[in-house]
Parts: sequence; structure tokens; C-alpha cells
Amino acid sequence: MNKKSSSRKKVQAIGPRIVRAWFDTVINPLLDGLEKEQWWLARQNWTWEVQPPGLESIHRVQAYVNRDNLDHFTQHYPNVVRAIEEHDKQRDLLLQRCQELQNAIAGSKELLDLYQRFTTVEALAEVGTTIEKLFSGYTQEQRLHILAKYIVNHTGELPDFYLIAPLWNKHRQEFLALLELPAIRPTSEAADKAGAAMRRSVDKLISLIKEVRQKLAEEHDVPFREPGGVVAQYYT
Amino acid sequence: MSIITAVVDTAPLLSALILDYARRNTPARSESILSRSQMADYLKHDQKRQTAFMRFFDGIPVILTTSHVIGELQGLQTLKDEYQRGFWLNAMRWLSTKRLDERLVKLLDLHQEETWRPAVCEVGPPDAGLVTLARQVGCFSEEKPLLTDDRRTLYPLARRQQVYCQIVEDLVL
Repeated sequence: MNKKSSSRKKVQAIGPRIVRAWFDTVINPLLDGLEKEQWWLARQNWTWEVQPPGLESIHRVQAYVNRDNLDHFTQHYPNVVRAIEEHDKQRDLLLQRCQELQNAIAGSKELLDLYQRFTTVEALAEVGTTIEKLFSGYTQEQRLHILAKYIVNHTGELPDFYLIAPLWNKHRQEFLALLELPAIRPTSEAADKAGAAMRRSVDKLISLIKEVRQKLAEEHDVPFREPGGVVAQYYT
Repeated sequence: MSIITAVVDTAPLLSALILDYARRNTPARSESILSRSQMADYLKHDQKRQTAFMRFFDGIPVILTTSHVIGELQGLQTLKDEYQRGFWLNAMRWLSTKRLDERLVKLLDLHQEETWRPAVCEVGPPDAGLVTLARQVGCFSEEKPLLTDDRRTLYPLARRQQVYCQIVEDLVL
């Protein structure tokens, strides 16, 4: 009896103003961020970056939301807490796997061979670029790391906007074939596995959050988004 | 006729620095850089125009500007932390390939000149300084333009001073 009345009290404490704040500072920014994550993950692009090491577009949940309001929101939805923890755990694992894969590729003799073959003056002239345009100011080691991160991210064809596009688009298949080398393949598969698990956790969290949003909107007569309302922003 | 050298105003220079930084990065980071940056409206969300804009700047061998303009960049760029660090490292690298010629146009030198004293009062030292520099280095033809996106203030002032001034937005369609 006591437990029931305390639970009812909690629910009663939530009104349209709180729901609006949750939508604007927790639920919608989180959904926007997760949907971006989903977009990249669907392409097996882990958005891995070397400097500083991290995943550019796959963040811990706290990065998307107002933390105080997240705490308040999750007090009422413990199942969301579990899904968030799973998301963040998978994200950290993917980050670790990307770092391992980066090291394996950047340190491989095969990448060095490709780099030396594809970046001669003649080879670059053939694709209409120069080493200065591509890598001016970088040491050879840094250049290998740059190429390696494009491989880690399974980068697709790049638009002309990107300076590396002529080199990458011409030799992309050969660069990506490094992922199949016996010395690299296990690390690559581990990253793919972590990426797939990450994607599942993102899908699950999106569906859970959408379900909660739907329920809150209908219970409290609050629209998902206010016309001209808060635009998604990063909190870190 | 191709440009030999150009005097460049703050807004197009800032856009060029942001876009150069973005195009040297992966698509995901590039998206982060662009979404956190302030640049000309006509360049936002239009990758074809961004590419054309950078091709235009790639074709300029030497960029001249004033120290006022360089000083304004930090106040206008909106990147933080690691992004800001990357922005400035890349900016210095790119400007060195453009053989940046940064000139100091002193406020008190402008004060000495009958022509420039009212201009400073009207448009401020950075714009008056740019037009002064453009005149000093002979920006009177297509080969040596003053480049701006400021139709309201700098462009009319430059034209009144017979400086060959062009709006970058009109050049990169």
C-alpha cells in the first residue's frame, strides 16, 4: 500500500512543464544524437579519430543531454538507465577496438607499401593532386595514421570537397583490403563485432526512448517538439 | 584572368579557414567542425558551393590582409578546445601555403590622412585599414582584387576609393 502510494506520488509530481523540459533537454537531443549514431553505424563508419583518440559522432549519453534533467528523468525510468549503461559500455568497447585496429593498420608494412606506391609524384599527378596538398606539414608516421583511420572507418567514396578524395577514391578498395590481411583480420572482426553490438544498443535505446516519449506526450498533452523550440545541442 | 594576389576581408577569410580545416578531415569530423562554426550563410549546407569556394581560394597564390583582420578571426570563430586547436594549427599551415602577407595599418597613420580619418569614424579601423592596404598594394584590377562579402559597408567604401572590390558570394556560384 505504502509503496503504491509513493509511486503514485512520483507520477503525480510530473506535469506538462517537466515533460516539456525533458523533451527539450533530454529526450529530443538524445534521439537526435542517437539517430546520427545510427546513420554512421549503418555504414560501419565508427567515426574513429586519432587526434585526439575518440569517436567523433558516437558519444556517451551524457554528452547529448542536460545532466540534471537526465538524472531526474531516469529516476522515473530505471529501464532507460539500463539501456543507457549498455549504450555507453558498447561505445567504450568500440572505442577500444578502433584504437587496436588503428594501431594494427598504421603499423603494418602493407600500409607503408601502399602509401609509398600511391604517393609518388607520378601516381598523385595521375589523380590530379600533390603530396603537399594532401599531407603538408605531417610526418610520414602521421600520414600513415591518417590513412589508417579512413580504413578503420570503412570510409566510402568521398565527395570532391575532401582533399584526400582523389587518392582515397582511386585506391579505396586496396586500402580497405588491408582489413582482410591475416595479421589484421582478427582485430578488424573484433571492431566489426563491437560496431554491430553498438548498433543494436543504439536501436534499443532509440526504441525505448521513443516509447517513453509517446507515453509522456499523450498522458500530459505535450507535443514532441514545440514549433521554434530548442534546437539540439551538445552539452559537452 | 586569374588572380595574382588578393586583399581579403575577415568573413571570406574565416570561411576559407573553416572550410579548409573541414576538408582535411574525415566526413564525421568535418560535419562536427561545420556544425560548430559560423560562416557565410550561402556556404552553409551546400557542399558544391563550399567546394567551389575553396577552389577559388586555391587559385589565389598570395593572400594579403591586415593585422586587424587576423585579430578579428579569434573573436568570430566559434570552435572550442581541441577543435579550436586544430583550427588554428590548420589555419597557420594553410596561410603559409598562401604566403600570407600580413600588414599592419596603424590607426594613427589613418588619423594623419584627411581621406581616412572620416572613414575610420564611419566604418571602423578594420574596414578603413583594408581599403588603405588595397590602395597601397594597387588593387585596381581583376588580377588584384579586394575580396569581401560585406556589400553594405566595405564594398561601397572601396569602390568610392577606386579599389577593385569583389563580393566573393557572386564569384562562387
